[in-house]
Amino acid sequence: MITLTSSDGVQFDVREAVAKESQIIRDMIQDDCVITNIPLANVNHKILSIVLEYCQMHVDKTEMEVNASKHQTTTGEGSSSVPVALKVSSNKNLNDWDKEFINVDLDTLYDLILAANYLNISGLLNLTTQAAADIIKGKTTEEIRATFNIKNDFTPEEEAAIRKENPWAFE
Amino acid sequence: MGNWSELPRDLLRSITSFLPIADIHRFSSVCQEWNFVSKERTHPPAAQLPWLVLTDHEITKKRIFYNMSEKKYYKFDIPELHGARCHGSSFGWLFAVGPRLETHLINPFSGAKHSLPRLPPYNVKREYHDDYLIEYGYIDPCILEPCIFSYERMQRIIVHKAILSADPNKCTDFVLMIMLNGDHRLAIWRVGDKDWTVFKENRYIEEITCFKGQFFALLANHKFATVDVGPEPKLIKHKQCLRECTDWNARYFINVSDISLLLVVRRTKKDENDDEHFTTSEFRVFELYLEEFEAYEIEDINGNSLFLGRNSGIIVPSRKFSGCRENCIYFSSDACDGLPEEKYGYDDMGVWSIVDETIKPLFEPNVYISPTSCPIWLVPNPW
Repeated sequence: MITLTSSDGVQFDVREAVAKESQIIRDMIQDDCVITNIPLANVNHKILSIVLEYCQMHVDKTEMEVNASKHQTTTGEGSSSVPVALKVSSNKNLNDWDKEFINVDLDTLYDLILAANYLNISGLLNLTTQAAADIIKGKTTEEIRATFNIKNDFTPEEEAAIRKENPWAFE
Repeated sequence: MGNWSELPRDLLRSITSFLPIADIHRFSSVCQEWNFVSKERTHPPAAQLPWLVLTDHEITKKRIFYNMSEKKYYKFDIPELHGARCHGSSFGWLFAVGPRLETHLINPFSGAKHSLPRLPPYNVKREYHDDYLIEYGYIDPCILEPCIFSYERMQRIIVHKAILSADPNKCTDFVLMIMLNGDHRLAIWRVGDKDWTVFKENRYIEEITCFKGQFFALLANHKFATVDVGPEPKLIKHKQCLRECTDWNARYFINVSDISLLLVVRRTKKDENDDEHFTTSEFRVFELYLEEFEAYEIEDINGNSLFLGRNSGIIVPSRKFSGCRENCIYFSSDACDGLPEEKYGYDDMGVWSIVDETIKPLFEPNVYISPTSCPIWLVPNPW
């Protein structure tokens, strides 16, 4: 077990495999194998618990697949198509789980993007930045600004010039 | 709330990597920081299903595009496309023939353009008048008898299809090949050429493609040939690659691998109630091996989908796009321009399932298809 401490001092005890979903933690553990307590200065306990939920799920799924295929090899029963089918269905389940998991408010999404980047968890970074892109898709400029609470910092001339480059996208 | 406009640039770049082209432009107009990141163009836009290039808007003359993925129309104001007919798309570029037979290659998403020589390409004496064109020796080069053509008709019938050897965004010495209507002869234009070069060989060409800079042609009777586009362009190495379906109505090549092409054949049938109305009844798909010049029928296309018509054939991994059916052929009209299109427009469009062998309508509700402009599939290629 490894203890991760959030920026606001909350400790999380997790299995090494779960912590190692983060590239930065994986590097730390490889450099020094006796390390057991890792302080994470940039992630608060609320976000860290969500991140760890993601890591836990992804590790569990991977282990389940490995076990299933081991079981398959040792028993030697059934056709070779079984593990593939299992893998496909488990990938599908995991994708569905990811979709449900990332259905969070924009504040949480923002913090998750930063945390995934800081901890270097590529799967979570992809998931979160894609979720942000999905929210942007199909919206007008004004709708995007309103949704993400972004102030228009262009002069009217600058904004007109940008729209003029590709007017078709703004009609 | 987190300040989204100040998200680190790396992360904004990651977000843009998931945005298709129209959304990237809207993203770029949100604030200075997002504009800066989108202008870097670190990622190509996220892939979408091919778009359909439709007709001119009657009043504004803007060209109407349909984005299948968004189910949304967009209007592009490109002067070279006003009143023009598009006869092909490769690498996201359209080949457009204008109302006075001037020609352009246009990338509507980048705004890049190339002006090409005026049509027709035949090396005969000709006079361009205000309302018509006179060619001397069109029927027989030895007898300089004048033939009068209306621009409107010439614009409509002169080119059947046009393809590019390479992406003009990425290289400077590309070749454009056009398949002329009527005798389906070939002509080419190379960067720097002052005029078109028409192939001397008078063979009826069914379909053309270019793979890694090498052109291939399918001749009548399914004879497959490589095409030399050197100083004296010619067809070489003919061999019949397929003995079936030689009487079917249209053929399409799709580049799929280093060793083979897909060859799709399409059959059209007369409408039961109207002799002048032709619609697609059937497709068959073959894999043509470039080593042996032999084609073999295949029963599925690995879950992909094909987009065929006047465009260079497009293959799409269906699973990556929600709403895209697997093992299907999305076909747009390929009507011969001599037919009474005014009556039906280019309405022969649909989705053929290779597995079920059934045809379903392409759109619900139907997209308006103009009688004067053949819809063309196009893959946006802005940079």
